[in-house]
Amino acid sequence: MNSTTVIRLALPGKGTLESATLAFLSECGMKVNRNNPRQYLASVSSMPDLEVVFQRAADVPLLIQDGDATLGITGYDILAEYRGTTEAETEADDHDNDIMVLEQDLGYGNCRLVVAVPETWIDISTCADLWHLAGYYFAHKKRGLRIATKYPTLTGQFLRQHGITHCKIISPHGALEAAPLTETADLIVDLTETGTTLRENHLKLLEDGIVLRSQACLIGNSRLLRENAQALSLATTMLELIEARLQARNRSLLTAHLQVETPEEMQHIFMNISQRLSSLVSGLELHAAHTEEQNTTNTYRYTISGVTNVGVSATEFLEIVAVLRAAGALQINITPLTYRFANESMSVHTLNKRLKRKH
Amino acid sequence: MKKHIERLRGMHDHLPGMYQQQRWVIDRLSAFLAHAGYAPVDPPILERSELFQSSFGQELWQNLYTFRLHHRDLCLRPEFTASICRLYLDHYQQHSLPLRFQYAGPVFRYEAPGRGRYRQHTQFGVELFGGQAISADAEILHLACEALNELRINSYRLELGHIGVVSGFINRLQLDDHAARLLLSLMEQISRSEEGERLAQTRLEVLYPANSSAGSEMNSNSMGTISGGNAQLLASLLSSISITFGNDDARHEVVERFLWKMERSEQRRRILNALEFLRALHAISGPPPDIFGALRDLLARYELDTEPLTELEQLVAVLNQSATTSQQIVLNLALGRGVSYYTGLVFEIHALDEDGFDTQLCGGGRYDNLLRAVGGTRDVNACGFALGVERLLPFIPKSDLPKLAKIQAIVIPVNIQNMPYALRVARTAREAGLVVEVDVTGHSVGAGLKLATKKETRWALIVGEDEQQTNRVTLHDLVTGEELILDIHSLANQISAEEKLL
Repeated sequence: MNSTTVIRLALPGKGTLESATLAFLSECGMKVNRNNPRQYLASVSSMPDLEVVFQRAADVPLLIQDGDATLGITGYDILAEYRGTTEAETEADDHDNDIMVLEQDLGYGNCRLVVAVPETWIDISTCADLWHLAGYYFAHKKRGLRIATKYPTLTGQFLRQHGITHCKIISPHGALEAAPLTETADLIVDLTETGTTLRENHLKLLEDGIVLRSQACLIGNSRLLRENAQALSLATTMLELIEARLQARNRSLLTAHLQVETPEEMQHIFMNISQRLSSLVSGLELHAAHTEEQNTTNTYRYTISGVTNVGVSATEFLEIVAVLRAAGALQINITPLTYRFANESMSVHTLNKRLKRKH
Repeated sequence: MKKHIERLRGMHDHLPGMYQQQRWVIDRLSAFLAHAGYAPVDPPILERSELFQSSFGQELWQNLYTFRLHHRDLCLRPEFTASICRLYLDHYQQHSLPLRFQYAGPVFRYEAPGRGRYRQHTQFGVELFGGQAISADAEILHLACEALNELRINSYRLELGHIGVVSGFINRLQLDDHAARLLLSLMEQISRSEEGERLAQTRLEVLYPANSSAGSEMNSNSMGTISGGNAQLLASLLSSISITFGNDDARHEVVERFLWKMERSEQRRRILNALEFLRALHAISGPPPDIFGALRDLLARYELDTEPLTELEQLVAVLNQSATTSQQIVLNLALGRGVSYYTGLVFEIHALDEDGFDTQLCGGGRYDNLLRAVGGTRDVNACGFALGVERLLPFIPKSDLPKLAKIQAIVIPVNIQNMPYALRVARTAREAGLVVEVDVTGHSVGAGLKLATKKETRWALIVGEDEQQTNRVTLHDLVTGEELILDIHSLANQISAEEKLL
């Protein structure tokens, strides 16, 4: 293999995923330089070997499968429909498939693929009800249910799982929400973030009608990653940064300085603070460190620090601040965490293990 | 770098040895059934998806190889029966019944490959249209067993069932079609394994939930009482009251459906009753004739028609006429088969392979409604069976299976100018019944002889300028090393005489 080949990263070049992806990569320290939004190629200054290509999110899986790009970001819903399965690790079934998921949840682009029926269907609230309705349609209308969706494969699987086999799946190009109103379909399986658009179009969700929960995901061509050391090293770097960024998300670093007369007093205060804070925030692990030798005023200085998963809202911090102040903290610093590295990246570890297993 | 294109998973290349064995099995079966009046037909491998969807009674079928071409839904056949029904409707509706057909060829199912389970496999089978049901059933069952005997497969187990018992029970429950079909498909699951039985139970619980069951089941006789479950349904009705319906028809339909849904707890009772019956039926299975007594008792307890039992008794008597003993027969009235179109007799033939794994060799039964389901205008009695050719092979005595024909002689031209004469010699020898190859390597006679030795060919026929002039060949015996110069026409006699001496 030529050691100076350019490794391609395919990114969604249109729609909501585009801006969110660029913002996310930038947060991860991989800012994409794109001179103008009409250009299809771009670069990342921190990674000179990487070439970014912008494509429609729906085309990214094919690009990876064909090896035209080594790495890519797309919606998990799109990938699942492309591969015909909702499961992340599917190497077992089809060894023709070179696509592998490197990171399933990038923390943005959240949506759900759901079954939605007309709100007038007061008899239908679960998939079991839908099964009965399919029988009713067959007996009374001599036809199965018609379901409009842009995800025919996943929809077919979901319906079969629920034993609903009297139905026909259609895939119109336009807006699905209109299908039940115009009677081109009886119900739809569509993406939704909050359900608002569905409600506005007089549709309702079924209680157990979630076909798939999806976020943006990072995928790669496993064959190319295995054959090209340079590609693997780039993927590793990306995964390291992404994982560190995801771990740091919604976390803040808290530090407070205290001055006490004796180490025993510090111990007492520390216990007190830990107890009171643990009831306020979960997952906070505090550490205390002696920072300065005994000075002229016969006191000891300590620093307490810890990472909290408290959100960015300042009002939530104030409660913590109050506890620390009451304990006599002199100065309290809170900074949002940018990266958080563990002693080993789990994603990288898993990637290496899976690449080995496939061969 | 070009990527190696791999064979599809679950699909196999039939190499010469395997190919010949399969061909032999099919020819053997085909000849046997042709003698019973079954005419071979060969429908296309590709059909409209609709054909199989309507025969299975559903529009989504998970194991089909379907695809769309020019807006047409197409499907590689997963079995022959629906195709043969279509063939009958296309060509034979005006013919008098009964009609008998046999078929052989590949079928495709997209399922997880495993032991004895291929995504493409070869089926051989027959269909019999028309005739009196009991007589036709007897013939089909008899032929299925005899076909195996013809291949000298003797240690098999025949499972006999009859959909009539369960469908009689279900009809009496007055369930809707959908529920009846569900029960029939669950019957299949229940009769397979304990795991399947649990899954069937779970599935019924999901589809017919006990909404605050304690109350509704106790009150199920006092109609009109608003039980907990119904109250819950009414509540959802009330909460939806602000909804605007498109028109009165739509409102009417939803109300009708809603009322229908309220009857579901009553249906639940009947469904659970049916499940219990299926379990009881499955529990009583075993060899005839003893089992008939227990089955009669059970049917009497449920006040069910015993006609199917009488038919099965007659069929067992028929089988006892052939080589199938009572010990090989298991009566199982909960036998369901994978597809839903069966209406009467159903049967499966199983055998244990050398590792003790159960293999299904044959399956069949009666499907009187299938022709109508695929578009016929009237019901036609029909039954048939199919055998999995790949699965039969390991059970056939090895010594019966044909070996690959060995090359008996190789013609070696001394140089390229002798090639036309070499081909003529080869043709003469083949006409005399020998298997003859011509050396096309273009190497020397010495190399040709080495090649012949490597291939374990007994004879080498060397043709050069001299031989060509005199219409002769030099016959080299690779075992003894002797050489003879022969006239081209006495060649075959010489070789077959020598072969006999061996």
